[in-house]
Amino acid sequence: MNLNANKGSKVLVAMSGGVDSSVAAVLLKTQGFEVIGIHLQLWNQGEASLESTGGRCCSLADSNDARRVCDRIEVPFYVINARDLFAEKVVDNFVHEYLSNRTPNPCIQCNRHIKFDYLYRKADELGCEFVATGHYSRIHLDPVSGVASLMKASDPQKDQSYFLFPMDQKTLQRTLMPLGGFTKPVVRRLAQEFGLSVASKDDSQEICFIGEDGYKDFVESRSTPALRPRGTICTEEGETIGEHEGLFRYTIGQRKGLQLAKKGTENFFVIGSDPVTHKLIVGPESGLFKKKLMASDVNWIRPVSPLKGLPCKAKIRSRHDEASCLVTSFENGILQVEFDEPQRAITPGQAVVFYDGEEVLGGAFIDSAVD
Amino acid sequence: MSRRTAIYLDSNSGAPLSPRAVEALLSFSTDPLIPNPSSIHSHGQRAKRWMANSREQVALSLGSNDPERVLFTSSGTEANQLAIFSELEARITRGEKPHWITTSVEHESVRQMAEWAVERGVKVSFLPVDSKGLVDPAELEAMFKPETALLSLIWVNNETGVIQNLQDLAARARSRGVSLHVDGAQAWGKLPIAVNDLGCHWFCVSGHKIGAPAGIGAVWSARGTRVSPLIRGAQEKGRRGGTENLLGVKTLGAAASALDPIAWATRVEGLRDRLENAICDRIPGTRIQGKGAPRVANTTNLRFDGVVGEGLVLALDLAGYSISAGAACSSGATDPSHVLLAMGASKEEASSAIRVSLADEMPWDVLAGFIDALDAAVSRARLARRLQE
Repeated sequence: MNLNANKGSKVLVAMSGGVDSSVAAVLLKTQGFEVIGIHLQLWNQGEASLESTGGRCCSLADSNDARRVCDRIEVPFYVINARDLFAEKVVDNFVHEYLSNRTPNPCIQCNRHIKFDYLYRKADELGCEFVATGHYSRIHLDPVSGVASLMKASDPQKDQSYFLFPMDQKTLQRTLMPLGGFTKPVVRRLAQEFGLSVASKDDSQEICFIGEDGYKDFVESRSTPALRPRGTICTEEGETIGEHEGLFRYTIGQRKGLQLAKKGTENFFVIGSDPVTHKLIVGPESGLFKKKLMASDVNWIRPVSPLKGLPCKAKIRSRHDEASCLVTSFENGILQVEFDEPQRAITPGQAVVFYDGEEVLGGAFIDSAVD
Repeated sequence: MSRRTAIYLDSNSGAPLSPRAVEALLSFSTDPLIPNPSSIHSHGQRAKRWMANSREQVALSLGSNDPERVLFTSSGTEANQLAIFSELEARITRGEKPHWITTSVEHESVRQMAEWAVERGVKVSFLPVDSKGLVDPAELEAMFKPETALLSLIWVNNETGVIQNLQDLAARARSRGVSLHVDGAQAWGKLPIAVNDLGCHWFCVSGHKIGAPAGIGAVWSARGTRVSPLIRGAQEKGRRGGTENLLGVKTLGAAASALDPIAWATRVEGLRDRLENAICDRIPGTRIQGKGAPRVANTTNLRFDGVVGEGLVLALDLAGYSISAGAACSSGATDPSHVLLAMGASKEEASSAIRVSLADEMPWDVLAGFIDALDAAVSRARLARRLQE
């Protein structure tokens, strides 16, 4: 818990309408904070829809769920429109990344631009010292220096620290994440004890603005065909063995849906692409393993100096077992990460996040994998 | 919610119940029977008399002595849509492609009908407004076509309080044989109305803007107009089906009978002007939308350079004052105001306005307290913006 946070401090709680942020709001209220619930309207799921979107957010039902929780604990609640900002910073970026042959992580962009940027401005406008979210992650404040550290959640199953690496000192020092020490079953039980109607609501899944049709249709509907040219599928040796309908449809490590006719390619994976010739490169699984990656758009949570090489552990996607590596920073801000062991399917566009034990050191976005 | 009672400065969204409407509601507490006006028995006949009485009260408040011209609806939205539907539907059915002129600053209930009309082959033109929010009569003249059937106009704008020059625009429509539909929801009770002299064919009003509860509205239609029902049934002479909302009708009549626009405007206008002047003196970078145009007495639409209106509404609510910004959608989030966009505002400017609308006179102290809270909220929002930049 943030030591700067005194009882009675005003805290803006970001409420999706789900069980996590609802419990976060109730916990803060019971701890004596002056809570203001805010639901961000990020995306139009069809205003008329009264159905909860089943894991997707921003339906009327979701904002009503959050409103009910606030009514119940007798705190103010408001819906704030952030649709334009979300469309620009998250959705447009998502489409652009796919069209640039990268595999984006929109949740990180949303945390960065919406939750830990826009929301803090709203907090300032409303005179709130703190912003709280239902993320499973912990923030540690050094009582002497006041420096904040971002830590993994107690529950490794639910840990969301990977998605939070772009946070800086300024935001961390005024952020509360009251669920960081809980497991999900405990949070559900708390929701039940508090009598919240969202206690048994499904967890959010997948990407909130992508419907059942999947990301491919979404990207197609938001780009001209010229931006997603077709091309050939080749082996690493340069042999053409098929055709593809746009590189955005594939991601590193994908095996399904390649539809290769050639014998002996049944166990081929996507291992890369050539953005100039629009070739999709496939090969046996061994081609997926790379030892090094280059990354940019770096954020270090505490000042660190990896110019001479920083040994730590890294995750290259949210569901990845962290692996030992050496991080070297170049003067131009580019990072090189060299793993002790080759890693499977290092994917451009995904984040590489660095850990020292429980602590998140920082992270960056992967640009390429290198042998 | 146990928070302290807030000061209500959002009368254009919904006015407080008028004392006469409360009286009408309370009459049901001693006699809880709300009979069906279609019943033959004496109770039903009493209900019929209530209906007739209310119809007369509403007609009188609109300056008409012919109650039969008044038809009750569920809302101002239904009233507007019934008028538009009645004018266009028969022509569409005959295979014509009529032309409908409306403005770019209409209420959502009219804007929604534009979508409906276009899908059915109606040509729809939107009259622009100038930076003060006024329609230019010359633009209207230029828009008329031989097949123009209908002109729909919001007389008093709900967001800015700007009053269109109805007499002039109506005369131009009449000289072309074009029917005129007036959305009078925000004019009712705020301006003297002589509906027969306005030269309109449809005049639509809503209960909760004059101190009746929401859920009741009315259409006045001129002689010679034909109603195409949206809801079929024997009630309202077959023009609007569904058992009459007697509770709504009775309170609507009661609230209408209490309207005295001139006295009300005399009480409120000075207060509004003083409020505007005090805010302009106190808060630098304040703009008042529609200030150069005729406006109703109670409405002020304010914008503060570099401040988002939605945040101000929240901050002021936390400080104990209820105001509104832009157009609220069903979830409560705010979109940029289409009215201000039409008046030439940028998207950012159209997102930065707030509306303060006074129900009636109130002690100046209350408004002085509001100005303090507004000043604090604007300063905080500007500081927050600077911190981020």
